[in-house]
Amino acid sequence: MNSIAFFKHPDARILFAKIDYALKDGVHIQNRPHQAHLFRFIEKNEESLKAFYEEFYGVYLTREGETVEKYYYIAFDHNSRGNIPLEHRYFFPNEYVIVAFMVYKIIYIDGYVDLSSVSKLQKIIRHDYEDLKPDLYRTLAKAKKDKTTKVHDENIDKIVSDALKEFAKIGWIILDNDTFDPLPAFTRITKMYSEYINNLEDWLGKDEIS
Amino acid sequence: MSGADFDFFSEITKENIYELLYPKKEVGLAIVWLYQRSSRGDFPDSTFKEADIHEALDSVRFRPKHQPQRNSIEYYNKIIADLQEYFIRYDDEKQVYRFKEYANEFCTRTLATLKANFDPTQIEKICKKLTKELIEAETKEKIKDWLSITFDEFKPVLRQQIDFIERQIDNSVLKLRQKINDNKQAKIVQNLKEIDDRFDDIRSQNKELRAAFREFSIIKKYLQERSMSIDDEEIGDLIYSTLQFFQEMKRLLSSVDNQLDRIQPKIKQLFSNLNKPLFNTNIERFLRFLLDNSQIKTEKSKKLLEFPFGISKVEILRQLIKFSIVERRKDLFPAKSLKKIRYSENQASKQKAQQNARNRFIRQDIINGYLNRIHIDLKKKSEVKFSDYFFEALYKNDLHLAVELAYRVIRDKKIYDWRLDLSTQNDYSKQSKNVAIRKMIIRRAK
Repeated sequence: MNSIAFFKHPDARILFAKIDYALKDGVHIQNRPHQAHLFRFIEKNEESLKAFYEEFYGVYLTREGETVEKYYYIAFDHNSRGNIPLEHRYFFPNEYVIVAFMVYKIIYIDGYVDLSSVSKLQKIIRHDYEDLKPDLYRTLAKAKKDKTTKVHDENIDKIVSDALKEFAKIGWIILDNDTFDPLPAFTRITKMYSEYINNLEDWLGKDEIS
Repeated sequence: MSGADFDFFSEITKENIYELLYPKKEVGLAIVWLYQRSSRGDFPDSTFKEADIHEALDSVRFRPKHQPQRNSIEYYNKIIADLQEYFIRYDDEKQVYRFKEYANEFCTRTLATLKANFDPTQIEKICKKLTKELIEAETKEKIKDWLSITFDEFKPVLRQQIDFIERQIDNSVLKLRQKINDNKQAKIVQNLKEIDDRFDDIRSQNKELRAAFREFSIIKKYLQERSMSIDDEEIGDLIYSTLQFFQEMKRLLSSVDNQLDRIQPKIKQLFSNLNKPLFNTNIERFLRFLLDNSQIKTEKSKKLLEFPFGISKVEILRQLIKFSIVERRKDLFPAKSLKKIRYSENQASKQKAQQNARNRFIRQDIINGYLNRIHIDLKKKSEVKFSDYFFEALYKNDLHLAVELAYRVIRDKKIYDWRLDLSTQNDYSKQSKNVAIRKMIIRRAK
């Protein structure tokens, strides 16, 4: 049966359990030094592993990105949730989604390509976007509009650093104390919401978007 | 004078020394103006006249506005007098001026920093020369000179090269951001491509610089070997600081590499985004929409952020299962140790016990004494009566000793080679008629 062909791979004994645990923990696996051996195994056994997860768990081993940006992760079906019990599914706090979009915007849209310090990121989010500031404080720090205090600043910093820790856990970034580096899988945040992003007008009606 | 005795700070704050070393802008610029003309060869013999200095000051537009024209000569004279302290030297025979070394340094340093010519081949050449000179420096004094003079002069040249690379990175990043902000430009992608190429250049420059630094490992090894055989504290310190310098350069070079490693993938992503400008705009609009329309809901005193209706949350698979490992941990459940009883030493009891032991030895000696007497007596007589010894022991010593003596006679008879004849009759003590033992005759066996 194809779905267990990867068991015969010589490295399966050493690597499969690690890969299986990582994937089921929501980790994105890409061709970067810290995951390279796992990535290569998946790449070599892609078809068989895909069949395995689909057949036994009802979830999908998914590949995204091209060439060096390629990454793998486990995705749910849009409609069913496969054989994964509810308690094994985890929802990102929505604040983290906002942090992810902010990081994406700062680096990949506004071009802060030299940004790799967590504390600098926190400062940029707090200071550099005047137009977004009131809503950032409202949504992330739970501050009432136009009334921000030092406590709110600290809340923002904490949410940002908590979010980065979570991103590091699922292989979106590498985090090392104050230093962070986005990995290819980080761009998945835009893909997750691409339905909305690509069809903003249709989805909301043209009037509602500023 | 050694560096330790010289207080740089207090020295420079004396009188107007600082002002003389760092003249005000107009004067500094005039020096640069002269330097540039001189290096172009405009002044024969590298000398210049007072009129040249005036021209320099005029050309940098130094003329106090509130002063009438005729007074400016006095100002110029004052400036020229000040400059003579560190910058220029007056040759009164020929009535010309020439630069002092400080002025040369002042200009060349600044020039090198600004011009920032990247020249790893130059570094490589200097490194090779340094190695050669070091190997030729055979005496202690020569090594010391190499460390404190030759190598020291070379340090700023190296640092400048790395500074230059770092500055290029910063400038390129800044330029990149400016171009993005200014994205009405039709040529943005092409512009950014140029910047990306610039990063590639910087990386290869860094690589070249690193290659030029290879010579360092030879110098380093040589210095380490030499330091083993030279027993001189000052040279030891100099070698140490030179090795530290190599470490610092190495760290700087790899930090440049790290910086580039971080920046370049992000630029690639930026490019792919620029090719789909609508997607970018939409991401920003979507983020704006989320920020504007998400609501804070309080649930069980916890504030939760809710996205506008219809927007799904990010769902991620996460195993909760952790293997239950039943383990008897040694640190939590250590083997029960047996209670150890420690007896405290009681000096009185100890002495008593020792005295008892000593007494027992003494008693053994006494018994042995009786046995020896019997033995000797048996050499004179053919037989002896045991009761004589027994009663003697009984009255001289005690009953206990006498009984022990009897036991020893019976036990050790073979050792002494005795024959014992017991009879049913009793021998009575002479002292007391109530005390008697069975009659026992001891004879020699042969």
